[in-house]
Order: sequence, then C-alpha cells, then structure tokens
Amino acid sequence: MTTIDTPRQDVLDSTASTDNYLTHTRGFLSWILTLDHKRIGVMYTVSVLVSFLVGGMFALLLRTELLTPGRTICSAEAYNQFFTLHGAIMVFLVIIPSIPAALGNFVLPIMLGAKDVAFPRLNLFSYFLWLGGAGFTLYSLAAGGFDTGWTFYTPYSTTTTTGGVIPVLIGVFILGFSSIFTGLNFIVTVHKLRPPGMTWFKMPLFLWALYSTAIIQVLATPVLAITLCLLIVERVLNVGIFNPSMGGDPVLYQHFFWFYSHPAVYIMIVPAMGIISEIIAVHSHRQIFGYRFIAFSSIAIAMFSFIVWGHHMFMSGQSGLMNTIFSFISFSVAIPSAVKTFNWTMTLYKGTISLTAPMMYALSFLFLFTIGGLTGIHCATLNTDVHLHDTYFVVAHFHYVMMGSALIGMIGGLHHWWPKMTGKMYNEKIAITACIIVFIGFNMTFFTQFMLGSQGMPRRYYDYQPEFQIYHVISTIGSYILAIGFFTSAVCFIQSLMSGAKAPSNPWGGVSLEWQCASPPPHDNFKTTPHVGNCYDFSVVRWDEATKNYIVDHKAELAHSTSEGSH
Amino acid sequence: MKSLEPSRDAFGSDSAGRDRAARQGMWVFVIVVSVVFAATILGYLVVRLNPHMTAPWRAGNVADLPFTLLISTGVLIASSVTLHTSLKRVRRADQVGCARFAIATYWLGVAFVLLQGEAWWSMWRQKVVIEENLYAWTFYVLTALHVIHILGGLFALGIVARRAGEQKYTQASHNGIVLCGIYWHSLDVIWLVLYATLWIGSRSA
Ligand SMILES: [Cu+2]
Repeated sequence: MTTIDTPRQDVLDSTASTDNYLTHTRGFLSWILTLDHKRIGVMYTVSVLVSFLVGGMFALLLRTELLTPGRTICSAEAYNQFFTLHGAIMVFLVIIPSIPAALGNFVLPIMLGAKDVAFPRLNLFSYFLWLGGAGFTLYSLAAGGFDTGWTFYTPYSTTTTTGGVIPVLIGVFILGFSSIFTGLNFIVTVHKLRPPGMTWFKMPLFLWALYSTAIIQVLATPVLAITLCLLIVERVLNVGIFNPSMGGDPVLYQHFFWFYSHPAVYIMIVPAMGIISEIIAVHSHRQIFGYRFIAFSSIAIAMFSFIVWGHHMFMSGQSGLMNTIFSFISFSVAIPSAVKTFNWTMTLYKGTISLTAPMMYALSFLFLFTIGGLTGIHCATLNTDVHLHDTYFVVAHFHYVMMGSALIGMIGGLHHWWPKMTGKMYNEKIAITACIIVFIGFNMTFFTQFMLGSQGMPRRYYDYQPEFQIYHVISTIGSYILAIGFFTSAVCFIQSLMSGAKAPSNPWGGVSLEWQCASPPPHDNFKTTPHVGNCYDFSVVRWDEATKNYIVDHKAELAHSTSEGSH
Repeated sequence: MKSLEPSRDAFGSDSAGRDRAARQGMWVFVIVVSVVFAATILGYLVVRLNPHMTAPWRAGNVADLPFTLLISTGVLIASSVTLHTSLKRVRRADQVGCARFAIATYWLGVAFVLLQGEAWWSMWRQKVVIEENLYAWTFYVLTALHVIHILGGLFALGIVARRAGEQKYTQASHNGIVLCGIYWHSLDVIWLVLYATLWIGSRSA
C-alpha cells in the first residue's frame, strides 16, 4: 500500500494490515465456534445459499410436473410435497435469514463502527438454532414429508397422514427463535454500540432497515412460536383450540398465522430495501435523496405490517366490516413503499450511474418491486380479490415481492459486499450476464402466472384445463432460464474465490464505514474508534489511480462537517 | 488452529455500558415472552367468547379451578418480594442478606412449581382430562406454558443464588441479580394476568 495524505493514520493502518478475519485463526473449529460476527455472517451466507439450492430444486421439480395437464413426472401426492417443501424452505430457511442474519451480521457492526454485535455468544447461538431448525426440516423429509402447504392451515395440518408434519413444525419453531435472537441482538447493538458521532440520523439506511426489521422479528415471531406450539399439541392430542368439534376455531389459526406471516413479508423486504438504498446511492455516486423519508418509511412499514394481516383472509368468512378495514389499511402500506421508490428514482436521476452488477440488481429490483407492489393493490381490493384469491395471480404477486424484490436485493447486496467479505473481486461481465438472465427468466416464469391467475387457474393444483397449458409451458421454460441465471451467478462467485483479483478496500466509492475498513476486514474491524461523517456525501471520495481504489478524503470531510455545523 | 477466541466483547473497558446493554437485551426478551402470552390469552378469549360455539365450554359437573392456584399465586408474589429485597441488600453492600434472600427466592420458586404440579394433580384426580373440553385443555396448556418459562427463570435463579452465596455480587457489580429480577418479576405479572383470565373464564358454562 502506498501512503496517501490522509490525517486518519489508524484507518490506513487497518487497511494495510495483513491480518484479516479470514486468516486470523484457522481450522474448522475456529469457524464453527467463532464469536466473530463476520464469520457468523459468512456461515449464514453459505448455509442460506445451500438451502436456496435445495428449495430451488423443488421449484424446478414442481414446474416440470406442471408442463402438461395430469401426470408429467410424479404423483399428485409427491407434487403436494414438492410445493410445500419449496415454500417452507424458501420462506423459513432462505429469505427470512438471508439478509438480516447473513449479510446483516457481516455488515451491521462494521457499518456502525463497532467491534461486534452486543451479544456475540447469543449471535453464535442463533446460528446453531438455525442449523437445528434446518436439521429438523430435513429430518421431516425422512419422516415421511409433509403436504400441508407452507402455511400449515388447520384442520388439514392436524389430520393429514404425512409423517413429517411434527418435525417440520418443530424445525420452524426453532428457526423462529433463531430469528428472534438475531433481532434482539441487532436492536441492542444499534442502541448501545454506536460510536461517538454516530447519531441515529447519521446511520446508513441499511442500518435503519435492519433496525426496523429487528423490531418486526421481535414482536411478530413469538406469535408464530406459540401458534406452532399449540398446533403441535393439537396434532399430538387431536384436540385443541383450533378444533371445531371441541368448540375451537380453525380460523383462529389463520389469524395467528398471518399475524406473524404478514409482518414476515416485511422481515424479507425491508432489509432488501435497505440494501437497495445503499447500492443506489453508492453506485450512482450521489447523495441519497430524502434520507429521512426513507429512514422513517422503514419504521412506518414495520408499524403498518402488524395491522394488515386480515387481507389474507377475505375469503375466510371474516365480517364485511373487518374486510373493509383490512383492505383500507393494506392500501396504506403503498404510501411508505412509494415514498422509497420515489426517493430511489430521484437519487438515480442526475446521478453518475455505474452499471455494475449490484446496480443492475438494484434496477431489476425497482422494476420487479413496482410490479409486485402494484399487483398487491389488486389483491387488497375486496371485489377483485374474491376473483383472484387462491389463484396463480397471488402466486405471481408474492413471487415478485419475495423473490423478485427480497431475493434479488439479497443477491445484489451479496455482489455489493462480496469484495469486502472475501477480499476478491468478481468478474463484472459474468455477473451482469447472470443478472440479465435471471431478470428474463424471472419475468417469463412469473408474469405468465399473472395471466394464468386472472383467467382462473387455481394455485397448488396438480391438474388443469388444457387451455392453460401454453402459459404453464412458458412459465416452466422461464424457471429453467432462471436456474441457468443463478448457476451463472454461482460460477461467477466460485471463479472469484479461486482466481479473483485482490479487492481494494473501497472498490465502488462508498463512504459508509465498512468501505473505510480493509477488504477483508481485520479481526477487530477498527483499531480505534472510527471517524463518523456523512455516509452519503460522495464529494469527499476521490479515485486513486495508484492503488486502483477510492479514497475517502477525511480533510475534505472534516471541512464539510464544520461548514455544515456553522450555519 | 491457533487458539479459539475465549470471549469477544464489543464494549471493551466500558463495563457499565455492557451492563446497560445486557439489561436492555433482557427487556427486549421480556417483550418477546409477553407477546407469547398476549397471543395465547387473546386466542383463549376468542374461543371463550365465541358466540357460535360448537361444543360447551365447560360441562356443569367439571371441577372448578383448584384452590392450590391461589396458594401458588401467593408464593410467587412472595418470591418477587424476596428477590427485590435481595437486590436492595446488595445495593446496601449487605452481601450476607443478599445471599439469604436470593436463596429464599430460589426455594419459593421451587415451591411454586411443586404447587402448580399439585394443582394439575388435583384436577386430574377429579377426572378433568385434557381431552374433556376447552376449559380443561386451556387450563393444562396455559399453566404448562407458564411453568416452562418459570423453569427457565428458576435455572437462572439457581445460578444467581449460588453466586450470591459465594459473595460474588458486590455493591458495585451485581447485574446478574438485576437481570434475573427483570425476568422473574415479569413472569410474576404475567401469571397474575393469566390466572385472572383463567379464573374469569372458568365462571359459567
Ligand atoms: Cu400480507
């Protein structure tokens, strides 16, 4: 490393240091028993990606089965298990932990300027819980699988004869606690470990997003936990409060389930929005537009998420008044979402956009989230939902949000922080090609499902009328293209690990603290408490040709902050 | 493998900050537990107040809630009082008094669990089985849910009582008692709400 005229010698030291978190200690045990949030984040990332592969295989199997009406490759019973497993794995093992637990764990303390999360042991414990939950979910396959759908609706889930129901319920219960403890850890970390100068409104927007997500995790997930407990008791004893023959109420289960599972959608999407805020600001080198609006809209979405669950139950016999109220509040969620989209677009406008892979994923996100969000309005409108309920329209809608937005955001974030996590650059051409293939495959798969649904094709059906076949064929081909796209992405990452160029500390020109830390970061992140400036003021960043790296010029930054303070 | 990290601590020398963070973490955990019970009680109310109930809540000859619950409630309140006294003693640098009250709290907690067991036994003796109706089901499931949380608290209380006995808590450093207190008093309050709900719910069929 060459010397650069910066007053922050400590930052330079940590940049030049050869010790990093990957080489600090070696051996399997030093990873599996680590308390370092960065290693835990990496372990989560690997685990989540493996689960994604498994969940994706089931998706391909069920799409293949749907190529023709009637039997194509498997029995109806096997098909029921495939879509159930696909849903349960993708929701509970992949998307919910994918951003907070995987990327969040790695990035949050560094972005904040802290050495670690508040409770490192609890953090490792959360990861073990994740492993335990994943173990039970896998075991349920050996125990006979389950065909309840990922929603485990009663009375079917308490009466179906598939043997894996109780193991998977236990698995999801444990995964819930993994999520709760991660949320608890993040809340306390953000409150108690902000270094001097890191005020709430100096925090990068990804931290606001993770904080809002943590609130949802802590307040909503316990409801899932108790619901699954009551469900297990009921399945074992055959009696309980969801059993109408005893005076119980099966619709109560739906209320409980959606009281968690609607906020869970925001556990998936809010952190993805945080990533998009970072990517768009850094890769268009422009001060984020409407910082406070984006920050508060994350909190607003978190709050709204608790009072809209009834929109999943318009057809459950819920009273007309309740339906109207839930419909109205659901529309309101569009406001904070639109605020964010507007601010991102304004940031892009007149920004100096670098079309890197993270930016490509962010642009995909904007497009797909807009479609996913706007079709949500059809589903929240009472008179159209009567028609669309339980059709492919709903399937397409939530895939645009949960996959097209949350997962695409996660993959974009993975590219964005990949140089930081691994210390290696990836091949930009391959990564962008992968992104384009994913984008085409995704729209082919799911846009056709809007058409299927609006024409009345019900979801979760094994058989269908011949006139739907053309759409199913297009959708299935799309899913294969999607798989090729993700495979290309995997090739890109593996190639980067094996022969990627060494990453500089700041390849994109970011200002938030993780870019002022070496790639990969040292064991303790920062040698001394880092200097906190405006993390979206890109005028203090300049390109250094000698090191092929962006340099954050702290002299300029200090001058800026004093001139800001003077008026 | 060089050495496994023995501990990793982001607070460094700021032990007061670490204690504050631990307390905040415990409060968040209490919120988690409260949400569990709030959801359970709400679910209870939904089935209890259901105007279109398909089966009777409680047949006329089914036994009332056992009297033992009243005694166990008293014991639990007493344990909260002793735990708080223990904290007050250590704040006044009275380590012996602190240990005495911490140990008393532990045994009162044990007594509470035994009394809850006795309540179960007395219901079962009167042939109130869980399959009987929702009145019986909710009695067993809700009290069990609470006892499970109490057992967790008892485990922590055991550690605290032992450390207090070894005089490990001082006037300056006794965060363990505080953390344990936050959890234990919360479970106490939750029990009062739960018991009141069960009692009112058990009235009339
Ligand atoms: Cu919803």
